[in-house]
Amino acid sequence: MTQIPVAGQDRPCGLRERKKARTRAAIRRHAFRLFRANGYQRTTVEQIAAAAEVSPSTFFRYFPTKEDLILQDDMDTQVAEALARRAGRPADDMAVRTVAGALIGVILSITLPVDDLPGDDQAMTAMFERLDEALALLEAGLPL
Amino acid sequence: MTEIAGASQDRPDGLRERKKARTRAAIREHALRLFRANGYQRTTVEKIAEAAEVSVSTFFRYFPTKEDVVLQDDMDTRMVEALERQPADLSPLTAVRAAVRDAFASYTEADLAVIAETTRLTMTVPEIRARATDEFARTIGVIGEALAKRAGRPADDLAVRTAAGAIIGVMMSITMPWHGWSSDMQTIEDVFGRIDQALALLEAGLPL
Repeated sequence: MTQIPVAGQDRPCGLRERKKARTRAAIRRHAFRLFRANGYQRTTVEQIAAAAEVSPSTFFRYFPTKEDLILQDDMDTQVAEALARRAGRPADDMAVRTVAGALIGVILSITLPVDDLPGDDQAMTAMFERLDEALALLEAGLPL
Repeated sequence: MTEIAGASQDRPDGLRERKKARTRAAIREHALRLFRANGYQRTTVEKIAEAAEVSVSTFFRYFPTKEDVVLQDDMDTRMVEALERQPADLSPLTAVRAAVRDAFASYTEADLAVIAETTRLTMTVPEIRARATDEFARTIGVIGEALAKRAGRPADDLAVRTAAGAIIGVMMSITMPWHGWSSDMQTIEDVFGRIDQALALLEAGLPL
């Protein structure tokens, strides 16, 4: 699991940056859970903020509008940028985008559907082990 | 394995199956027409069902949510059928590449126009986009099942799921560039050419 090559390993990732990333991820996770449960239209920013344990004004610092939760779906961009930096290529390079897409696809194939994400640490660890195994399979050229 | 290769041709495609496919297509056609005319938000499931001459509960039997009418584009069904036709001795990725090419060759102008339109809706309507991840998971499952059949493995096999995830992930990264998307960005032909290129890179072990 340690080698999910998402965040560039060499990038200095300060405590504050990490905390911000965590808050951002928590807001999105709760938002998507509520969208699924109650529908996008009926879920308010207030409900999302309450679920993620932040104030509405904090919410708006991360996401200017409710729509941005969805439209700033930045996982593939972040992965592509990290890979591009490592490879010394532009982020829109075809090979970089392909690797990013394959990685995200493999990660999602293990973690979806999000509702079924394991609740306890032990199950979470097992999921990450599966993910690590899956990434090793990708590295080995997807033997089947 | 050879039986599977020809399966879709000799499978007696029952009257009921054909009728179901027709109903599904009709619901989709009317939905897209109404979305175009009145906007996605203002088109209710009731109106779609009425136009397609089915009951609301029938609508929901075919599509669990309104978003799914846009997202479930049957491309995966065509790809699975094309995959079943590939020779059994091809590697999974080679077979998938050939299947994508075959599926694309089978698209009519009208099919391509529908794909362009549903892609535009997915990119621009937040609630559709919010649901896209579920569609992503569903498609991984569908392709995974087809790969499992070819490989003679169970569908929940890790290697099967990983291959399906990588294939769909690569295809999505080409068809759904979440950032900087614009409707006139590329022609559909161009997109399929790039999908082929990306699958070739996956086949070559993702050189970087």
